Amino acid sequence: MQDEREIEILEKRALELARISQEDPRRETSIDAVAFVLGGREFALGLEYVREVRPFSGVTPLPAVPRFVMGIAAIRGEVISVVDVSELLGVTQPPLTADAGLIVLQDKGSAMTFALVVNGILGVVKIDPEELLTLSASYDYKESRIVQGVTASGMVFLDGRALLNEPSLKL
Amino acid sequence: MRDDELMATLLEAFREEAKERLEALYSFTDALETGGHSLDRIDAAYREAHSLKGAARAVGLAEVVRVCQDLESFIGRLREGGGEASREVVEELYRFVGEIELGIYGPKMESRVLHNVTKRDRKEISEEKKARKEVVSPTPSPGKSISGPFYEPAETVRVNVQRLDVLLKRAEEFIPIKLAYSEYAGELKRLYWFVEDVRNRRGEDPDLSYIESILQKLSLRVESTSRQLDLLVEDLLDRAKNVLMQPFSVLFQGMGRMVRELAQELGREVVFTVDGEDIEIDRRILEELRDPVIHLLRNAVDHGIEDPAERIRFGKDRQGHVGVIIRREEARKISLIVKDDGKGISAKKVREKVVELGLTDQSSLGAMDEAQVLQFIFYPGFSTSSTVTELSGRGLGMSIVKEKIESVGGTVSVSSREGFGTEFLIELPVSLATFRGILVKDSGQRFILPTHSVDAVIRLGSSDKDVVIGRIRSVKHNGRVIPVQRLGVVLGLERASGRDSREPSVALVVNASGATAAFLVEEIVTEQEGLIKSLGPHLQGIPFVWAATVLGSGEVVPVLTPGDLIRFLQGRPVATEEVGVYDEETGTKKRKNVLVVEDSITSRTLLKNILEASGFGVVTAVDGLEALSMLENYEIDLVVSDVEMPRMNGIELTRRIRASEKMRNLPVILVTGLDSPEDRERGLEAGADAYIVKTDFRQTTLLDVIKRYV
Repeated sequence: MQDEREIEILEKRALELARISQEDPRRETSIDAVAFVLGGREFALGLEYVREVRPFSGVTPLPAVPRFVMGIAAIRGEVISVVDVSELLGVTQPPLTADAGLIVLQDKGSAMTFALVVNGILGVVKIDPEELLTLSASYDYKESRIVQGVTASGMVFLDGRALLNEPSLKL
Repeated sequence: MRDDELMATLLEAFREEAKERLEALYSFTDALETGGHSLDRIDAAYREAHSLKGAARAVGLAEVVRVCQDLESFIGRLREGGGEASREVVEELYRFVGEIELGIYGPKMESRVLHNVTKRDRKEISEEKKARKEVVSPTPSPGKSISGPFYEPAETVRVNVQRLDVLLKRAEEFIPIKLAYSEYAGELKRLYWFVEDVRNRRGEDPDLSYIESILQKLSLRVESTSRQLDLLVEDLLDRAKNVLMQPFSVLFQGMGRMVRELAQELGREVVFTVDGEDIEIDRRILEELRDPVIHLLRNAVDHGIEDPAERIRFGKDRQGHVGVIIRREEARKISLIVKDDGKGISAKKVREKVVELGLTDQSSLGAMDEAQVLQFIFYPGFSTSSTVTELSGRGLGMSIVKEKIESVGGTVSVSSREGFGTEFLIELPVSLATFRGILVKDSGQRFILPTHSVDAVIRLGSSDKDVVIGRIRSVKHNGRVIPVQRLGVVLGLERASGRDSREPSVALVVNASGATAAFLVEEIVTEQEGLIKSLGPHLQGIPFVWAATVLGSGEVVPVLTPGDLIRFLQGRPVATEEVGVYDEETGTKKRKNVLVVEDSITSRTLLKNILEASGFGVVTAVDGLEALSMLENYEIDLVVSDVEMPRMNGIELTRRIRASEKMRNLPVILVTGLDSPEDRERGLEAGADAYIVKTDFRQTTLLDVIKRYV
């Protein structure tokens, strides 16, 4: 008896879930994005321009380069520039811990590629660009094309392509 | 700003400009198709094609220039025919515009396919086209489809080049593993010896004996596995590299046309031959060779081959000969010779110039023979050409040729007999060899210097008498006085200090681009072999570092650019150059202002970027009229102007400037896409100081010229 009721409930739930997923408009418009923490704030980057995510395992510093270039790292037989965008995004990067990660970005169009160093990787999230809120004027980077908007939970959604082609990161 | 970085900015601007021009051409064709033609519209389309050609030339898209040229002539003929457009004409126009679009933006799918395969395809396609044109009946001839497979070996397969590159990269990743493995084998062996030693001292102990026998077996096995790994990895690398080999014919495609067109522009007659273009070389080397070879060929036609009349006067053939010979020298070495039978280089003039530039002292110059003296042409800023209005200014160009060739592990030298011709010998490795470098440590960081750039390692004792020449500390080495500095100071890791006891005493004597300097380092760790890895697209053009290598331990070490280190010591700017006049009173540099007059946004961006990167202030105008009003409102030190512009062209602008009381002495340099000798003369007659043809011009030529006038 108990079992039958349980099955009944479960079936009902399954049906509801199926209905939700069918009706949910998010299935149509939402994008997979890598969520990460940088300087205490949560950010996300669409997977389209993310080539790979990996733990941070140190960089070799370079002489005579701007501060945002942390150095170079070898990733899969390739030397990649490691960039700290905290200043650009208006946050202060605390010291890196064992949680630190690298997000390797690549724009197949412009062939630009570099890696972002972040304080922690949160995982892959779904973001619906249509539900993004525009930034309030209090952010320094309001004008920038890099920020596409903020999710209801306060996560800042970044445009990977704009970041890769951001003039102030060019050398 | 470096050439390639500049080129990227420029291409961006060009693509924007081209988009508009292509749209205009498309809408013109659309109108033509629906019968809406007028001579005005045809003229407008002609101008669009012409401007597009000029802009494409400025960014060096030779193929696009060629198609634009064809399109221009096609529209020209259309106009002569009264503008009546048949269906075929419209189709042809669409084809032209489509081809230009393809040439600029590339195919939608971003894949580059190995060239020798594409070449065959292209041939097939053009044959098909021909067949389509000639054969009226649409039935395909059965004979053709049977004959097809005979040309195509069944074993050939089309592979995306990037995939092959990945394969090579993966194979290269085995190298550190291989190195690590042989290190482990060594450690294991030492451990075995140690245990053996302990057992001998302590006497018989069954436990120790057991450990010893296990260790012995293990160390032998690891050693033998390590040797196998060695062989396998080497073999794998060789094969992976082999897959990436391409024949020289890929490089020389289109060069014949370039030489021919250039000869035509200059009114010369030139026969161009290439011998040995079937020989294969690493694709990556081939890519790097492109610019140097173009430069050498241009030089050969421009500075080498004489006018036909002059040649006859000297008893030479009317036609000059420019030849390329490629030879396989040894198993792993290839030589590439670029030679012409033109007027040659005057060793006497080179000598004079060396003295004038103060590149070396009289006595050592006196001891040099002609062959040695000629090598000075590879020195940055060197040029024997007395006029600056040349098409392919030598000067900095030759030093770039040398640097590019050296960057792939090659060497270049020149020999010449005045009156008989010039020959450049380029020796190249077959594949991008593992690179040899000297690993050094200074200011707590490790760097690698290419072994070929290091002449010697010296120790500076306290007995060495330093001399200070013009605020640069110098030491004597091999009878020459060379500047010396601590590496960490050059790289900005350390503040320059006086001579204190903590300063290291070991120095590397580094030689690059004809100059020598010594760099003090804390430690010379070792000389070692490694693979050169490019720094990737983001770090192109940073100073001091041109690549990186990955050590056996997995550590990434920057490979330094010897030329940058030396230029820094010579007090020359490293990444960008500051241009200005030192103001005695304020002790500051006064910036020089340049007015750039150019109607094409591509060329305008190009010029503005080059000049700003070099420290000039830049004001721009889109035509002569605007330029005149700018000249009234700004303090301008030099004018760089295009010739063909709406409202008022560059020649008229020059005339106005020359006629003005105030600006009579203002230097004017014309930069233009027009290539015929008459236009050069027209410009100079109007009073221009110099004239540069923008056919693939490089910033170095322009800067060279400008610096002579400010």
